[in-house]
Amino acid sequence: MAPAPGGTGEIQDVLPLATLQEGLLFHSVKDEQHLDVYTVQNVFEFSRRVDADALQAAARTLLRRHPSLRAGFMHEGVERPVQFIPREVPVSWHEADLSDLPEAEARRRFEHIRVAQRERRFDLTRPPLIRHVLVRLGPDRDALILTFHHIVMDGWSGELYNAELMELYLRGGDDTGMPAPRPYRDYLVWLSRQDRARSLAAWGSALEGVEEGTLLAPGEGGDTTLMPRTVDGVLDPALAGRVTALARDTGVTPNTVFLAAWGLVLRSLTGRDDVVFGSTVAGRPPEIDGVDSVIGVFFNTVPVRVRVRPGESARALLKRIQGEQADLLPHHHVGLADIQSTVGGKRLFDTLYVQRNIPRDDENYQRVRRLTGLESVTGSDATHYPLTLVVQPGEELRLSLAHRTDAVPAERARELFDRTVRLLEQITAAPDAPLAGLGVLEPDAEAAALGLGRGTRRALPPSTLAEQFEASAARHPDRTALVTRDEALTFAELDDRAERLARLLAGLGVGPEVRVAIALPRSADWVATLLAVLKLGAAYVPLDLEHPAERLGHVLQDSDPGVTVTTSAAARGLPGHGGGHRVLLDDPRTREEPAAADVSAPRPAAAGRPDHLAYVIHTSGSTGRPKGVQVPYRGLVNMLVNHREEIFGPVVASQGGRVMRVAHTVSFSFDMSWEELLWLIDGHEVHLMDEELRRDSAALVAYCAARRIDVVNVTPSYCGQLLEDGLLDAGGHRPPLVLLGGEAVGPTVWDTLRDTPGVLGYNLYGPTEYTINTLGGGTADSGTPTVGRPIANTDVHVLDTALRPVAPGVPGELYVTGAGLARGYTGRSALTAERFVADPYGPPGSRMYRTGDLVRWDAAGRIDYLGRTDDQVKIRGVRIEPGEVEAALERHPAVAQAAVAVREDAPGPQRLVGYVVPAGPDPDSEAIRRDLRASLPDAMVPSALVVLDRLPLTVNGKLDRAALPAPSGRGPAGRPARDDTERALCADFAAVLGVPEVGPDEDFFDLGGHSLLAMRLVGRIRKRTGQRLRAGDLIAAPTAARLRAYLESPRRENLLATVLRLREGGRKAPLFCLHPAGGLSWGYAGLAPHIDRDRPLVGIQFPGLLGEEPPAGMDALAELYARHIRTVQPSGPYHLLGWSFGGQIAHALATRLQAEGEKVALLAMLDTYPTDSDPVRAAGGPVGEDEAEQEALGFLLSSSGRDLPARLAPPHRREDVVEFLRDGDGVWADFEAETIDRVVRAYTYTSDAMYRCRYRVFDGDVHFFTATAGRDPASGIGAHLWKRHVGGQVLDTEVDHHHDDLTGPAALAVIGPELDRALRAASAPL
Amino acid sequence: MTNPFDDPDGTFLVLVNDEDQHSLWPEFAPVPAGWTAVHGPTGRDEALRYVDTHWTDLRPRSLREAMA
Repeated sequence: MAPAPGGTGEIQDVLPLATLQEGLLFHSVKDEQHLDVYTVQNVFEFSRRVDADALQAAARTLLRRHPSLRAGFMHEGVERPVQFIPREVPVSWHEADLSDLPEAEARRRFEHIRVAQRERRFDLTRPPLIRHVLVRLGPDRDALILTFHHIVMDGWSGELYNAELMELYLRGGDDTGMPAPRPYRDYLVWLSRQDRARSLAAWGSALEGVEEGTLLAPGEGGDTTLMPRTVDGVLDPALAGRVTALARDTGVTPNTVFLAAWGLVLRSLTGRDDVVFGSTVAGRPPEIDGVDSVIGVFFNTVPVRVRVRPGESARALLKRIQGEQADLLPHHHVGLADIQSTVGGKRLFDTLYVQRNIPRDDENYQRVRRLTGLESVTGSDATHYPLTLVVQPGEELRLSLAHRTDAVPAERARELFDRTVRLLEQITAAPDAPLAGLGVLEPDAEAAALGLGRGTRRALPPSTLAEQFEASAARHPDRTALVTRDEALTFAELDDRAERLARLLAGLGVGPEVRVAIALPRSADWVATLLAVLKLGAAYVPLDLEHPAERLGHVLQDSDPGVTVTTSAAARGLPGHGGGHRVLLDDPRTREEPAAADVSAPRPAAAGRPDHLAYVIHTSGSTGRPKGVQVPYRGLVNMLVNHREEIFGPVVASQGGRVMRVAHTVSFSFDMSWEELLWLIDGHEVHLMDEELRRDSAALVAYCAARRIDVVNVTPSYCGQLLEDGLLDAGGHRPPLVLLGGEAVGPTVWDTLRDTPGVLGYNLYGPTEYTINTLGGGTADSGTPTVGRPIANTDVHVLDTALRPVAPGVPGELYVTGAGLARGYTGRSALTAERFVADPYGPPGSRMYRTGDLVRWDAAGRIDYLGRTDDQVKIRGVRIEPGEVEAALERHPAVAQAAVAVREDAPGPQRLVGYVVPAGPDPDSEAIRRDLRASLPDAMVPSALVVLDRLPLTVNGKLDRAALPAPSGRGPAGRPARDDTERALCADFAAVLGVPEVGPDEDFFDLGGHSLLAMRLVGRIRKRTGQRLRAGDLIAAPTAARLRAYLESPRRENLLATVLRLREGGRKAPLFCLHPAGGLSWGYAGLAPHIDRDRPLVGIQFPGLLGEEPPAGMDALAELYARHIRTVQPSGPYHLLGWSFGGQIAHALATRLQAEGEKVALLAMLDTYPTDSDPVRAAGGPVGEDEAEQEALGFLLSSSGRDLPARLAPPHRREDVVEFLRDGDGVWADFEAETIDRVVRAYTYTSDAMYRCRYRVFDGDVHFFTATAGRDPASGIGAHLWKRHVGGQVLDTEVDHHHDDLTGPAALAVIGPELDRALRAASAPL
Repeated sequence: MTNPFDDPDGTFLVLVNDEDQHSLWPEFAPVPAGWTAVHGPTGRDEALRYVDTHWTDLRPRSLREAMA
């Protein structure tokens, strides 16, 4: 035979490794730097002098008798690791004499040696893996330090070794007459004959459905090399006796009782009813004769699964565990790694249960002690688990809890030790009671956990919410209450409108418990109607006009309103019948009555009670139809009380006590829309965003900046978008309060809000079933996202499945109760009875709502949201029961069976994916999705449908959600991208949609795109290309190919766009033409024939034309325009032209660009004069509204380029102008009155801004054009006035035309060529 | 984690309070103060059927009486 790699002589045998040895080898070689925890140590202490030669001879004989002790291990250069057995190895023996030292010093040195031995790693390729150090401690005190690697001996074998070592010592090393031990090799042979597949299948079935591992220190590897500490104690003999008796009576082993107790402890630590922990097993197969005396490694660690059913008794649990364990007994030899890989490779546990069942011949041990002077043998072995429970049977039953201090601190370990003992006491005292009755936590810990959930008690005022609003209106009648796109109402006006409506509704029988459906667009009327309903003590039912009629029909049928308030346009989207009496607010007859009503006469007071319903809001229902949550008034009043104290007060105080401006962005179909209304009721100013504005994040941010909005209330995902669009960007205005709600808050949003000075983020949590909010917490209070603490008069419980409180840090389900509790679900008493249940911890007879939310208490007594306990999902803040979507799918004739899942396959947005088993061949999944849109709101329509032959099921016959495939199996549909431009757009689509690929002809919205994603997409394209796009443009061009065409088409431009390409093409830097007072820059188009073909013409138009709020002042406007210009031409030299106001802003822009370090090669101005000069001031200031309108209308007419009929002579009538313009060619065909309003507003804005202009000096020449027609030379107004603001020359060209006609063809025939010359000169090389 | 109220194999009671409000209740847990078991122990579906038949007005009794 070849020499052993370790150079220790001839090899006797080469063997495979037992499974456990493979694991040990792996652990030991994967980290060769640190302590090897499988280095085990036993210390023998003798009270007399040891015969060193005899002891060494004994050790030598042991090595000879047991080949397994001579084993070395190799894993490099071999296919599978092997162990090799040299015929002989020398004994590793050292001696140290400390007997001359003082005793304390000797002890210290001894410890040093012991630790050094413990820490010195074994080289597994160099046997023996056992070291002996004999230490002389004193004249009659010796100690033997035995250090070995676990890979050659398990604990049981260690005991055999110790006993045999002492026996051979007494014999001077001579084993004559001792029985020959059975070699370990026999076990390895036995092992190789086992049916591995069958054993793995047994483990697979035992662990079926384990969803995740039971981990106390998740995220860590199990290889930390800290030495554990131990808490231990002897079980009270009476209790030990009861454990034995219970086991005997139940027909199980005492070990099973400990397994059950440990399972219950883990349940209390993890909040899970299905726990797994490791258990070491002796692993010595009884079919091998004499296996008990073999030295080697048999021990295995196998998973033990304990499933707790709170309704089951301890005795039933014990029987079940015993049965399950017995079935697994023949499969204990399978390695843990192999077991784990049968369940998907996940880590199953990080805690361990050990029953010490090592045979010790006590009689012989006593004999050895007597003969050798052996005083004690102390062992130390380590596990890498954070927590290990060791049960040591014997005369006294010893329990010890070894804990890794990094994961489980000592006091915690003591608590768990006590908990284990307490559980044993309770199980043995009442083995037939339901486990739910077990007091797992200490009684005071249980009370403390309940106390955490108790919200502050605050007195509720006797007045109703309507009265509170009326009081605000009486206090500040002239304060602005509500601002909408169309109107701004003072408190007095809003109250008056609501009051008149209330009288109208009262006449229709509306009063307490009567439902009023509101089917209105977002408008002041919505709010007025809601207030009218509140005044009458009735209940409103919001109808989302964007929902399909079928669904609205369900809502109407379900809530049975007495009256539906709507408009004739909105009513078209409602189902034909249902909804009671219809009030059309735009019907003249409806208008007359409230207008005529005498609201000064008192209205009979509503018989309002706090338990009358205030509203009914519908949410997704798992059975396939929406369910109506009935919410009484009490909770609304409570919200106002809470918010005044917790939010309004502090925020208003931080702003010096002024009125807050609050943006209302949330759909009235969500109770979250109440946050803003509460501000209104409290006397603050609410800005109601219309549907378009509330969804356009960039526009919303611009609005907030322009109107200096103080409070924004949005879902966290939308908040993320607003932050990206610059909601908090320094420099501009920054809202001091951002309210979040509707879904879990991610760390990015939380951190941004928390870290931005002057901004408070406040997260509000609450299911619809508990009035608006249940919990609230601010970014100032917590470094990580939290849903905070209960609001006023609200209690929450975090309970386990036995309905007992869980300890802080442990996941449990959230139950909520208090002033805000809803009444129930309309027409669904069974559903109400299963969700609104008796509260065992509240006042007698009280109820609590079980939310289905999985939460835990954090260390500071706040709630952390962890997820759902059921299938309910939220997509963009909308609560969705997959069951409802599944039911809708299954109602489709082409679908036989359906399932729905939320997926996030690529990092990115969550998507709702439907899985269908078709009813016939060739299902058209796009057609199915289209049909779904007729019955479900958009958010509930799956963004992809996957057709399956059958739904995957678990062995229990349940839907196997994990086996549902990702929908991206299909490649991008259709042709590949044509070129890089298209490819880049496809990539943008794919990235935003979170799918691997998107084809150029695939529709963004069909692929699951929605408004939030649309904003992300345009933002992404804007960043990448600088092309300005709006989310709305995607609706017109929803595929990559069409978007590309749209982006490239010269006619693509929205004629009102801020950047308007007047002439495309050309390699030279463009000439930027800045709009005059009316905001449009179309007039410059006439320059095209005169300017070099190679130079593009780009108009800059007023952003107010798009409905965007323009920034305040010339500087801000110039800054905005500079940004726009840079999207076309990132850096100078720039060429700027401006007529009238355009000249002013061109000057401001030019000086700004120069200040930013850019070169401005040309600045040309058409007949405009500095407003800070006396002659200009003398000629007049900003124009009034009427004047602005006349100018605007005149400007529009002249811009039409058509001959004007005589009837259109000034003064212009707006209607005439609109009619005339709309009669014209295509450009004007869809011209709206609204655009005229915007042009008028542009006039007002520009004339105002112009007169506040503060000029800086432009460094260079200005090309100036003076309009000489109709000019008063005596006015003193002229080009020379600019000299103060121009560093170079003012080069004036006179044009014999009127100021207003300067962009007409005749004037441009003069201006154009001159400008072209100047441009060529400016670009010429010097 | 299966909520005890959702356990299809569980045994349930139907509880009623002074306001005539009904609650499903797992048999294993003690009946909370202020509630009386009016039905069960029985299966979940049967308990819910009982609620549907016997609880037809969700208004609390005190409100119902005040409005009568």
